Amino acid sequence: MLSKEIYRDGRHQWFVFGRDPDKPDGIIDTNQYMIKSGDKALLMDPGGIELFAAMLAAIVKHVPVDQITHIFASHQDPDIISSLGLWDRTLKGATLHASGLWEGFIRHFGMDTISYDAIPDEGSKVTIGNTSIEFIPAHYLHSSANFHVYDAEAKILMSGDVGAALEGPGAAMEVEDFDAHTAHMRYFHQRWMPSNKAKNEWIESVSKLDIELMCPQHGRMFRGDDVKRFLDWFNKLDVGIANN
Amino acid sequence: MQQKDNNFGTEHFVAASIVAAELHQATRVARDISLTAGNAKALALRAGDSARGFRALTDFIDELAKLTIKTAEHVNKLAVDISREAADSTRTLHAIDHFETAIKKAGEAQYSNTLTPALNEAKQQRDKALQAFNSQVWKLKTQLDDLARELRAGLVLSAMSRVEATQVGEDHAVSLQVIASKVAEATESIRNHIEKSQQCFAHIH
Repeated sequence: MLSKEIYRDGRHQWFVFGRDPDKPDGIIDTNQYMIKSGDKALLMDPGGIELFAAMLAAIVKHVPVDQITHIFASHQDPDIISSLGLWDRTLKGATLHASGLWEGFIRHFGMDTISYDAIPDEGSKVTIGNTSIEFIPAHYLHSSANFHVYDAEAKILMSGDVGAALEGPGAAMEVEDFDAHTAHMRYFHQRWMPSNKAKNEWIESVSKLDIELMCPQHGRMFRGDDVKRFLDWFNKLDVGIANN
Repeated sequence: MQQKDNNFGTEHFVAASIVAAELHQATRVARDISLTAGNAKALALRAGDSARGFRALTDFIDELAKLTIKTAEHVNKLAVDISREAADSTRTLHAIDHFETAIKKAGEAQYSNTLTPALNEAKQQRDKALQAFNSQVWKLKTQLDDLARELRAGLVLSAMSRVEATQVGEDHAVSLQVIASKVAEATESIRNHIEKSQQCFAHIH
């Protein structure tokens, strides 16, 4: 599995994990992210059961496993968090941050030792080591209770399914040609996101943030001006096409 | 060892579920016997002195039915516990597989040694679960054996009932013979369910 540092300053680092060549056929390719600060680390959308061993192997290149003190699940889907039962056997005293609305559902993945920090609908903040990050509401994009992670210091937005793209194996980690990339994003956003109203509210809220890197859970990351290009493109896109 | 562990995981929670289902059927049959025993007692009373021997047997039949129900319910709970235990162990074995794969994949990674505690703990959990499982299975097998023994007594009783039924006056003989046959059929049916249950765990120990 590819693992790459995507940000570093004196206080913290961001990593991306993905493009696992041993991933079984028929499961969607996913990106996982991690923030390391001091002796704490936050693992974001750690992925499905089938990815667990590869993720664990990739993580220990960067941090001791007992320093993963926080896990974040943007929503309840299996490609996001079905590995929870295995993380539960791996980590001691870690906290899972996810929507309070999904707690009763997410716990079905198996959770005895990890504690659950229910994020309220309006979002919240948490400190990881020396860094403070924010859980930003992204409800109905595409889950009814859904959050993204914003790091104002690094100017990075982990945007869950927003900005996701479906491509063949081995695609690059960053968008290189935005216009060409829209072909891989259109159907995903139109079909998996149900509400234009929710989409517009999210764009309005995110446009106020200073974002240098936008990191979706599938596909490629958007850097610099491509973030703005994405917001403009998304703004014009009609979503919820199953009912149109 | 790995193959044995995998078999443990994949086979035994299914086997325990099958036992639970078989014993559920046995309980239903035992309830029928209990009703039959009630009818037999009433009939034997009406038949008078000539059915005295049969009447005494009905108490035994009733006791046997109650014992079957009680034991089956207890064993059924045990089987459900075993099934749960085996399912938990399967998850632990699954976790061990993942940890071993991760350690292999991590190779010389800087912090790969930090994966060892999780692997060791999972292995300890597996050993503990195997011990608990074996102890539960042993209890279940003992209970099934006890019940099978009681049922053998039941078969003797039903044979005696038939003999006693022939001693009763003509008015009631046929009815009591029918009851005796019903008891024999039901006992045989329960015996079959118990035998199938015993076979599920016959290869253990």
